Amino acid sequence: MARNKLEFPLDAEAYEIICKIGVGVSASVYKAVCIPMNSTVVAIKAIDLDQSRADFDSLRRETKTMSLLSHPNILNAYCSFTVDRCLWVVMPFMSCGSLHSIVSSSFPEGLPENCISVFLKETLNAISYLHDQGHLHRDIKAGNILVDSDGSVKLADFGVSASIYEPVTTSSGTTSSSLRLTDIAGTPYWMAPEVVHSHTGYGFKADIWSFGITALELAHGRPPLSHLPPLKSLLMKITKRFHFADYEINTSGCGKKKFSKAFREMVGLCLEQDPAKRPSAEKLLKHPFFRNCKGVDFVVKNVLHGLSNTEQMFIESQALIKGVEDDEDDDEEIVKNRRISGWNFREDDLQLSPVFPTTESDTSEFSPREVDPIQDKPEGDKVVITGSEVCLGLSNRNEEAKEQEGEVCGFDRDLVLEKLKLLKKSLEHQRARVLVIIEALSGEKEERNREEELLEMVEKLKIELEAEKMKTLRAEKESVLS
Amino acid sequence: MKGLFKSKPRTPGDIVRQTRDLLLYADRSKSLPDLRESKREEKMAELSRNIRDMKSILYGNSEAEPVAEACAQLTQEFFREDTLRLLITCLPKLNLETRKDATQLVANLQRQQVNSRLIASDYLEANLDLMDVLMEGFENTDLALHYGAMFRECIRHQIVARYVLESEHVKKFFDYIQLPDFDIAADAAATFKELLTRHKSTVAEFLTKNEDWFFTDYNSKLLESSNYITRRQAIKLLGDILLDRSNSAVMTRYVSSRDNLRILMNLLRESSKSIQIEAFHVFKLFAANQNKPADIINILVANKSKLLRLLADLKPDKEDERFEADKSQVLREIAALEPRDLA
Repeated sequence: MARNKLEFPLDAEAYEIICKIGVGVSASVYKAVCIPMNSTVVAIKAIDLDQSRADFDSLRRETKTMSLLSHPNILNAYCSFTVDRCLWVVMPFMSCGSLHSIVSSSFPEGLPENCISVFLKETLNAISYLHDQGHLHRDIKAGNILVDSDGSVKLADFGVSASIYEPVTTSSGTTSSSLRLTDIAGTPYWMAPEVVHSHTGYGFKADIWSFGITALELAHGRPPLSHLPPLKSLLMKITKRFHFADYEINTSGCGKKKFSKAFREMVGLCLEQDPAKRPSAEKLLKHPFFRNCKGVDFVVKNVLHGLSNTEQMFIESQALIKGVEDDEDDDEEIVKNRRISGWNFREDDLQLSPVFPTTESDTSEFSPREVDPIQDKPEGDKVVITGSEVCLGLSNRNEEAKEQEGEVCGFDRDLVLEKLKLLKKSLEHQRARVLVIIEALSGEKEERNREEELLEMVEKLKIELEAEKMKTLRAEKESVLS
Repeated sequence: MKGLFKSKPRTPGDIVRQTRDLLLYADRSKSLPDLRESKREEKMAELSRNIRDMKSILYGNSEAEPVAEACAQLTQEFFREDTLRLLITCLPKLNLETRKDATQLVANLQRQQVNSRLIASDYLEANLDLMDVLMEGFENTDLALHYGAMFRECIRHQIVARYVLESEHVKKFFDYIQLPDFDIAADAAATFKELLTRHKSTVAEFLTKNEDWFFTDYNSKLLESSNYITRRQAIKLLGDILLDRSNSAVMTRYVSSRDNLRILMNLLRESSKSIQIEAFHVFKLFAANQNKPADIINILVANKSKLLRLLADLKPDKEDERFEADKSQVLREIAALEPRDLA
C-alpha cells in the first residue's frame, strides 16, 4: 500500500536536469534523472509560483489528485516540492510524448483504426477509474494522453480536473456540493455542448463527449472544426459553409478513409447531444469496438517503432502543442458566447459539424426576426451573427444589435466588413498553423528563410493590431450609442 | 457485487452497524493470529464495500441523488456509537481507495443535519481527543492527506476549532506548513488558514489571549522564513487576519510595534512582486494609523525618501483602483510626517 512517493527525494539536488521538453505560460517541463534512484528518468514540471494566486488552492488540489490516484493508465506524481519560487512536480517520463504529438508528427491524416482502438481503450480505462472515484477530468484530448516506448498509455494533466466530492468553497463562504459542476473548464474543440452553455450544469458525461472528439482527432489527425481559431465565436458561424469544403478537401485528398461500423457507432454514442443518452465509461468499455482490441504490443510495433527520433519529436511537438494551447487558454472566456444549437454527427464518414440556432433549415436564410421570437438572447456583449445573416446583410438582427445600431433592417457595411476581416484573419491563422505543421513534419526549420519568418511576424502583428482596432471600434460604437 | 444470497435491501442503519462490526474486527484482527488470511481479506473487502455504500447514500451516485431521510438515518446511527473513532483508528489498515472513500464519508457527515442539528458537532464535543489522533497524521506521509482532510472538515465546528486553538497543536502548524512534501505542507497551510479565519469570535479571542508568542513566532518562523512559498502565504494570511474587523484591537497593537514594522519593510523590498503587493496591504495599516507611536514615526521618517520611491514604483500587474487609492493615501501620510521626540 505504500505509495512509491516515499522513495523519491524531496530535494532538487537529487535530480539532474537533462533538457527542457515543454514550455507553457507559467510552467516548463524537463526531462531529468533522479540520481539516488539509479538515475531513473523522470519528467519534472516546474510551475512558477510567483504567477499563481496566493492561496494556491487549485495547485494543492491538482497535486493532491495526482498523488492520490492510483491506476496504470493515469499519470500520477512521484512527489512534489518547492524549489525557490517554483513548484516541482516529479512524474514518470513518457518517452513517446502525447498522442497529439505522435499524430501530428507521423500520422497527420490520422492513425489506423486498429491502433486507435488500443489507445482509446487504455484511455477509457483511466476515465472509468476517474469517474468511479468521483473525478471529472474535464480536459480529455490527444494532447493529454501520453505514451511510453513500451506502449503504456497514461492520461495526464489534472490542472482543471474536479472532484464532485470536494465542494469548492468560494470566497463568500458558500459551498455547493451536488453532483454537477457549473464552471467552464477545458479546451474549446473538445468541450461538450452542455459545458459550453453551462447554465444547467454538467457531469461525467462531458468527459465522454471529449473522449468522442478525441476519437475523431485520432481518426482524422485533428479535432473537428480545428481549422478555425478556437476563440472566434462569431467566426465559427460565418465560416460554416467554408468549413465543409475545407474538410472534404482534406479527407478526399488522401483517399477516403474507411472506418468500421463499430467504430462509427461508438463515436456516435459519445457524441449524443443529450448527455443522458451518452453511455458511461464503464458501459462504453463493453462496446463491440473494444472487444477484439489488440494489445499494447501491437501499437509498439506499428506506431511507436515507426517514430523517428522520438525525443526530438517530443521536444518539437511539445512546443507546438503548447503554442496552440496558450492560444486557446486566452480565449476560453469568449467560448462561452459561442452558441450552437446542436451537433450533427454523420456516422457514415465520421464527421461532426455544428448546427446553429437560426439556420435550423436553410430556408431560414431570409426569415425576418419575428419568426423566431423565442430565439435565445445573445450572451454577454458579443454580437451574435449567424451565417445566414451575413448573406442578408443582417436583416434579422438580434435585440442587442438592434439597440446598438438603432435600426432593425438595412445593410450595415461596417458590420459586414468586420466579419470579412475576421474571416481573413481566420484564413491567416489557418495558414500559420499549416506552416507550423509542415515545419514540424519536414524538420526543415533551418531552411526557411529569414524573410518569410519576418513576413509571418508582420502578419501576426497585423492581426493583433486589427483585433485591437476592432475592439476600439466596438467600444466607441457602444459609447456613442449609450 | 451484492452477493448471490442477497435477501432484503439493507437500511442505512444496517450498513452502519455492519460497518461497525467489521471495523471492530479489523481493529482486533492483528491480535488474533489464528485467523486465516483469506478470511481476513474477505472481511476487509466487505468493509471496503460498506464504506463505499455509505458514501453513495450520502453523495448519491450517477443514477440517483441523495435522499434526505436515508442520510439522516445513516448519520444518526453513525454517531450513536463510536463509529467515527473506530474508522479513524482503523484507517491505516484500509487500502488507498477505501481510505479515500472513508475521508469523503467523514467530510460529508460533518455537514449532515438531523432535526436541524449538526450531530457531528455534538459527537466531537464529547470526543475532542480524536483531534489529537488526526493531528498526528501530519507526521505520517501515508496518512497525512486523509487525516488532514478530515481534520479540516472537523474544524468547521466552532467548538472543535476552539479546542485546537487552545491546545498545543496550533504551534505545530508553524512547522507543518514548511514540510518539504508540497502536498502535506499545502494541506496544513489550508487548515491553518481555516483555523485563523473561519470562526471570527473564536479567532479574536485566541489572538487577544496569545498575541505575544503568536506574532513573535509568526514573524520569525513564517514571515522571515527562507522558504518563498511560506513567506508568500504568511503575508497574505496576515493581511486577511489584520484587516478583519473582528480583529481590530489586535491589529491596532500589531501596527504599533517597531519590530513588526521592520519585518514588513523588508517584505516590501522583496524581489517578488506578489509578496511586495501583499506586504503593502499590511504596511498601509502602519501608515494609516492615526495614533502612531513616536518610534514608528521616526522609522518612517528616517526611511521617508526610500519608502516614497519604492511605493511610487509599486504597481500590481492588473489595474487596481483600490490599490492606487490606498497607495496615494499612504504616500500622503508618509510625506507629511515630521520627526518626533521619543517620549
